Amino acid sequence: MSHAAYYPPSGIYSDSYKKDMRIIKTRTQWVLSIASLVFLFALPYIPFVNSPYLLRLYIGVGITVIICLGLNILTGCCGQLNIGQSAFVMVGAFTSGLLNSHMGWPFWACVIPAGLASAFVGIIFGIPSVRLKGLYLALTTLGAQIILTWIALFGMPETAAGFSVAPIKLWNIVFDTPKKFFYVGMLFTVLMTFFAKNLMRTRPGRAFIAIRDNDRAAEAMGIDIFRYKLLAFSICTFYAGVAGSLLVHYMMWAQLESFTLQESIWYLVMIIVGGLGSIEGTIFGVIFITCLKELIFVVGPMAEGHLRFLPIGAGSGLLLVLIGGMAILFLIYEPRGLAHRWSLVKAYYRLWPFGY
Amino acid sequence: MKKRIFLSAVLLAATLTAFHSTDIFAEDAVKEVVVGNVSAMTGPTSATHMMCLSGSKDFLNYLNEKGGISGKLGTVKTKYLSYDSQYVATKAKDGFARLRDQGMIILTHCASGHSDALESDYEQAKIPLVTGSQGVASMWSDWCYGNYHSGVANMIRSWIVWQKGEWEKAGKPGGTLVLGTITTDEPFVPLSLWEINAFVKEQGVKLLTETIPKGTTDASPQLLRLKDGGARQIFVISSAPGAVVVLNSAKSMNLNIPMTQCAASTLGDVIALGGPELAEGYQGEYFYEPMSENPSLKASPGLELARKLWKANHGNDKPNDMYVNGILSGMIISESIRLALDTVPSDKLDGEALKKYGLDRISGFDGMGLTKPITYVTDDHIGPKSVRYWVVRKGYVEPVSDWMPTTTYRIPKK
Repeated sequence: MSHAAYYPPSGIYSDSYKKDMRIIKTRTQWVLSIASLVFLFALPYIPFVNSPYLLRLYIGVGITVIICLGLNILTGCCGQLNIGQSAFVMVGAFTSGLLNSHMGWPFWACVIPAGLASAFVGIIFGIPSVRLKGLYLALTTLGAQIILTWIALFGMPETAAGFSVAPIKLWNIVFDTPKKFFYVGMLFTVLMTFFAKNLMRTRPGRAFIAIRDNDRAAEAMGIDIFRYKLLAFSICTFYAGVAGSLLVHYMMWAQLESFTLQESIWYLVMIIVGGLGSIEGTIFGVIFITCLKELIFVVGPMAEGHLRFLPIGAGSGLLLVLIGGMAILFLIYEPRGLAHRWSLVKAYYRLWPFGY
Repeated sequence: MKKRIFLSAVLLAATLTAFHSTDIFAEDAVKEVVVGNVSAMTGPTSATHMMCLSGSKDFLNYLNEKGGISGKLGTVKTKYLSYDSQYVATKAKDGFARLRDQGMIILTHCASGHSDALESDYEQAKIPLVTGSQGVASMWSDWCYGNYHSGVANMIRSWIVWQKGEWEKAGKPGGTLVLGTITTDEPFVPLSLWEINAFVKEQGVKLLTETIPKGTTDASPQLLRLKDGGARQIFVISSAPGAVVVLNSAKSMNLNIPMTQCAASTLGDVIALGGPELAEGYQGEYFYEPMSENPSLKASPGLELARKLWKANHGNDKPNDMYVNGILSGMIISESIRLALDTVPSDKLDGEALKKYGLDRISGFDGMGLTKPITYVTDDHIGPKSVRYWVVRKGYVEPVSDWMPTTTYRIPKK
């Protein structure tokens, strides 16, 4: 092992195209990646950070990361605003749940159909994106949220009432506790993060970015805008569908109330805070907002208990005020999100001790 | 030397304080048991859920101030911990896990679909649930105990039975009883109307149904169709804003068909939102006594206590009927603890003991007159199974029917 391995270079230079295409470029990155995976694997057994409550939070973060990765590919990378992501999660959740409870399909047979069903619905609602942009497109995705919720409400009685879903099984192992489910959740999160990271280096990924930056210029360069916009919609909603499938098998319960417009807004806030168009940013955004929520769950009721002049519910409502305000502040002062802050930290580390 | 003496004194004082705070010197250490609440403190049902939460919390804190809950084998005080589920099932489950980590032995909430997701959690953890409204899953679980009558699907059924009785008393005018229902497109609506057609057929009445979209400001077309169809009474399945829209539309078209409120809001909510004039004549179903301080009615001791606790804890805020629902949950929890302490010493009190020696033994309990007697038996943890209809008169509510039995239909488990 060379001495230089312990002192990362101030810049990374690739002398071949193959090297340039690598996601993990340095030995430090390799070490950190493997260490992260080992840490993830060991996490349910590390004392003080492995309570059922914390494990549930980690699983929640993992599933939300999948949902937000899809959303970030569509909104952050391809520039197509989607404020109905929660409805697409619902499509995947109910497809998987109904296949499991009515037809007895195991999770492993349900998860891909759930993603595909969601992607199919996503493509339908993505068709208007050919002609619509910005706020107008946002309204069509809002329409998706309303229409799909209405179908789930009145179209299928059991989706409104709720129904039980079997936990994930693999041979004799039943993933019905947070400790066991953690591994399934993290497996999907890591795989789908890796896929998303890779996607952005492929032809479609670059086409998405070209469309986001200037769709007319992209079209002039020969990019089939219709095809790539629909592809972005289908990938985004496929991610949502897979996450929905994971969610219902994790909760062992499927019901309409979990998929509200408010959830869709949270997902948008997460990718804005994390950094639009950034895979790392998505993870940062989800973790940041989750931590903030949990903090307010503790502080809110305490504040309400001590400050008697506050009306009932004011402490909990603080969450909405804080996170709404957070999104505004990030848009004003750090529109590139936490991902940009992370890149500054990395740059500082690489240039150290000669940073300026 | 002086410094050393000073440091020793500080250390001694700190040690004594620490020992004192752990109650080592206390002669009769009172054990503390954790009561958990997972409710949507934010989200669409927050107003209702927060009231239920406040009621149960205030009642249990009141008992703590009085010295705790005592049985033959000891005394306990309750520590009330809550978690905001945000109307999301995963958060409800997170909350349950957190409260369990914090030592919860009994759970309470005001149910909606998202909290139904907790069924497998409280069953696995063997922690009983006392709920202020029975969600669907709660009806299926042996670990769930409702203070509620019999679930939202029985509200329209009980109302139909009431209307049919009144119609028969009046000599069956018109030959066929025609009733109407107007609903919003809210998540609980399909539950309210679950397999209602079969019930309507069985009762030999005709039910006309109309829906108004969420956020609409006019329900005139739907009301006109119900009027043209010959509806004698209308059942409004909506939260308070939807009910106010329906009442406004009815007023604007001088519609004189009596209307009754279903779940998701109370008459108190409708009076507060629409004003007493608009709510005049509006009816509602209650399984407990409402908070409205009608000077012409004598309150039960339970209701007087509820009003006292409201004033003590919420000052001049306008009281809400769902607060009584929460008080009733708190009363059932305390009664179960009291009964369990007759058999189990306080240091052995856990979820299973509370169920076996507390909740399963509750019989003829009426919450100081707040409701009709509640008795839990195997496979039937429905609350009072009795309701009474009330009507708004000059800003107050007064009974418009006697206490009557509810139907006990259960949405089948899928």
